[in-house]
Amino acid sequence: MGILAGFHSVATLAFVLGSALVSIRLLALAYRTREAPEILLGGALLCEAVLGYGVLIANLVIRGGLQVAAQDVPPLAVVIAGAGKFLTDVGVTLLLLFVVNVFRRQTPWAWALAGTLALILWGGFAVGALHGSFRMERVGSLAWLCEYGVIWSHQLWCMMESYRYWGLLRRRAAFGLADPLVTNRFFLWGTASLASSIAIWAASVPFAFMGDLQRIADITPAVRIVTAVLGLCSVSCSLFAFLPPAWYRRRIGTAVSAFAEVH
Amino acid sequence: MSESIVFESTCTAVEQATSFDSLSARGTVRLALKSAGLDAREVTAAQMIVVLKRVLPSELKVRGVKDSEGICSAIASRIAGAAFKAEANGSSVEEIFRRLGGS
Repeated sequence: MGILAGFHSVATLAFVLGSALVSIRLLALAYRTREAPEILLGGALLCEAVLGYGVLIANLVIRGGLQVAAQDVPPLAVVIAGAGKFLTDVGVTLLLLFVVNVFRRQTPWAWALAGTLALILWGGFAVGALHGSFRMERVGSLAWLCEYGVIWSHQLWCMMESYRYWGLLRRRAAFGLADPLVTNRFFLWGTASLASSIAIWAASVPFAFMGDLQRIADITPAVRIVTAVLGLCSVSCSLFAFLPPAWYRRRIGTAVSAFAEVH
Repeated sequence: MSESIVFESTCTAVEQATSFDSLSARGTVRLALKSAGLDAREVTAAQMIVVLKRVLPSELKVRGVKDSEGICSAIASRIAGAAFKAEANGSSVEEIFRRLGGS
């Protein structure tokens, strides 16, 4: 259990720090370029993966784990839970805007979908807040389902768009019409989004056993391993995508050029 | 969003150089672009020239067009000589991801 807890802590720290590095890099770029994509993606990572996730972990530490009863929740934990949820939802909204702004700027249905998802997300947040969700999650309520439905699914949209472009650019690269490193970047960002999605789903599994502390204790080790491994996978992909080291740039450039020559 | 000027010019040239009607010419060029992972709305002159040299000749050939390579080569020369608006405006998805990764 000690090794597992240690691994989970190190993985969590690596995820938060790695995400912080990427978000700072993107926001620094945004400061120079004043372009929307870097502001939206840098802000999304900062709010969701760094601040939101970090604050929600602090909330769990203060509470001593997932709460199954509303009594005796420290007031500080209520404030922190509210702040964590708010930051997470801001991050989710910014990521939705990033996807539409970058991949579907001229597509009316995409703007409508992003708007609807944001409305559902914030509706769930607001109604949940009015019913005390910062003190105790109202698992299974309509407001909870609305908020978590968007949190569970938003990265999938990002993943699909990234993989779609990865496919397009692989075809272009075969004709020498795409930069191999940029092509690989779409694969990495799609994979980071997929890993994040599965990690979010895995972290939500204990909600299915609210009221049964023993079951939650039984599944916690497996949930921790899965979320830690996927978190590491996700942040590694983000780092290689948006902060690629020189050796990685060289390696991808060589590998994909060889692929283009063969095809 | 409408198709790019380069796409429109290429389709017109294909229509004039073959017995294709407008619909067939546009469909054939679209298929060639798709094979190369390109979109009719965003294709640039440089990309279209590569498609004209490496993809479109075979697409025309399978549709019974004789001297497809010569036709495509002539259209490519015309596209290369024409002055189209600035192509890389930094807002294509590829350009955005290039910028985000610092390359």
